[in-house]
Amino acid sequence: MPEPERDLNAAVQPLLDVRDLSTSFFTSAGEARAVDGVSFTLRHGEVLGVVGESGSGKTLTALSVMRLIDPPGRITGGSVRFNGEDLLQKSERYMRSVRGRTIGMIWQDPMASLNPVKRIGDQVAEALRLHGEAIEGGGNRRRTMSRDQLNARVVSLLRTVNVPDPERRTREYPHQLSGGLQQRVMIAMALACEPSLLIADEPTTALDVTIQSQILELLKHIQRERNMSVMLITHDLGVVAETCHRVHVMYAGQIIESADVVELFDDPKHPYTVSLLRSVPRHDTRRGDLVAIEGKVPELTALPSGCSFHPRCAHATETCRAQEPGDFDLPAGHTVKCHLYA
Amino acid sequence: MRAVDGIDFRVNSGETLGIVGESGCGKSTTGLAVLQLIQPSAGEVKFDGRSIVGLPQGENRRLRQHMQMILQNPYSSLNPRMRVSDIVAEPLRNFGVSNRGERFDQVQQLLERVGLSADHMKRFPHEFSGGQRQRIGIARALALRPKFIVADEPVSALDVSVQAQILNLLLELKEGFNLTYLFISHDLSVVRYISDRIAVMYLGEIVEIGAADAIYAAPLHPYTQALMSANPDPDPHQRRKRIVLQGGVPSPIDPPSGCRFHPRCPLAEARCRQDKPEFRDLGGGRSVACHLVD
Repeated sequence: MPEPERDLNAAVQPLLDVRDLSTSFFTSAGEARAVDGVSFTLRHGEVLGVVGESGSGKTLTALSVMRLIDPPGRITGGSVRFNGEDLLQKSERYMRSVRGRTIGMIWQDPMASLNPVKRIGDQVAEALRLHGEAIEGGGNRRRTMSRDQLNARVVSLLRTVNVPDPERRTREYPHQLSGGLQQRVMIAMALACEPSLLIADEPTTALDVTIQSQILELLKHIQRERNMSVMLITHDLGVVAETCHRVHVMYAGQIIESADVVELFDDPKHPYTVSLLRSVPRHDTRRGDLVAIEGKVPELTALPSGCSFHPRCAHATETCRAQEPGDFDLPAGHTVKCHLYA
Repeated sequence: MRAVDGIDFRVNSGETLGIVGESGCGKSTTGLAVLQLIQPSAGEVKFDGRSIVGLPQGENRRLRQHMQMILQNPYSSLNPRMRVSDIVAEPLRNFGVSNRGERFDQVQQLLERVGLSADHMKRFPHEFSGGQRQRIGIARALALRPKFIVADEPVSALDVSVQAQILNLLLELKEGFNLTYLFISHDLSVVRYISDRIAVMYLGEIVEIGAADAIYAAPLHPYTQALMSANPDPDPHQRRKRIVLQGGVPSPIDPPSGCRFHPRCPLAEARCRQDKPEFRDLGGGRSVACHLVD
């Protein structure tokens, strides 16, 4: 995938600028800091990968950006500037106009996201209606699209995401579609209002590998065609390597390393990233070469002192046990949260 | 519906045969049929040179000592109301280790062998992480010192950092216990890492089989080629030409005529639609079912 265009506007203001975002869950076991001071920017036309294991906070970061955190969870601090406006200061009504319109979302399990008792066509039409795209004309001539116009728009959207025989599919129910087709419908709905940002949370994890590659190709194609920004959340380092421009690695609620994709895979800095990359087999891994990371991801209610990774880190020192590391900037736009680079 | 349709393969003593394929290709059904946990409607399974299909119940039961299974989901495959010591001791109790003390010793040894400690014996499954639960399942499978283990997606439910722990444990145990594995997975990288030979399945059939290195170096069947090109590799320098297959896997209730892969095959010719390709031995342990491979 080519580098995103750096137009003048993008240089001045990133599309999304997240600063010190924190989200906690207040449970009987105590406060779980699920997102802990996360900062990142996303430029126009950039594909950003957020990678981490389960419980690392990658999904909750996305949900916090969309302000979709339900009690007992709460966003406890930070800012989420989208096109310069801090979403955390906006009304719920304003957020409803952002979700699905300027920021589109797709989730891991399309079957759980689609309404099982509604026809595909009606669901896509609903996305258009709810997010105001079913209105044509401007000023005094504004009026809702006719049924036929709406249908035509639905069919053309399904065609954009390569759903074969879209007229017939609009009359079908979700269970009549394969997992891959369901995910295409989800993408069509997310794209209905031409969002400038698409948040995709494990969009291919539930799919078979040949279907996964179809969906990734589709997402790449649409991203390039519309110069859309994408935040791709995944546990799969292979998917990241093949789709993203820039990568953030998350561990225990924090971004512990950020770099451009090639830089991150060629020269990982944080001991967690180094180990993670050595723990997944790639095309040239020989038997016995996989190095497992001992132990497990810590519980968020019982985080270790200092650096959260220190109990599993081979390089841990007294400092790591006592002090939380800050973010250290390295050359080539590489940032790492580790005392080794102080 | 034929979930698995006329497949032939052998697993040599001491090797790991990987079966790889997408959902619905029949790889799990194959594993169950090999273990006689489902009765195949036709065909034969030989274990140690002896046919094991349709054995009388008593003999079938004795066979279980030698053939065990490791399952995908370490959450649903352990009884939540049993203590770890009882879970691992159950096969021993069922197969005649009647002395409590002896069972206790064996369970303790097994747990240590899989990287758990004796302290864990009195705990319940919910007190463990996914990786630790999979270790418990492995200890249970090893309890009767089997010769052969079918591992069905044993690392698919685990986090990436934990997958490597379990894969390395399986490799280590294979040496220590002289095991033979049938390793079933949808993940090509994982299968390649652990297997000596690989069988690729599509819609109930094996389309290609051969030495793991040979298949990965030069896949011959168009489906194997597509599958491998679709597998995302965690190396951003590997920007291969990806073969994107059209459509999804057809229903096994009404499989396509001729070669079952022809509707999705980018190279399909007229004969592929009509004639079923023979599963041909190309020598060197490689067999392929495709008209276009010489």
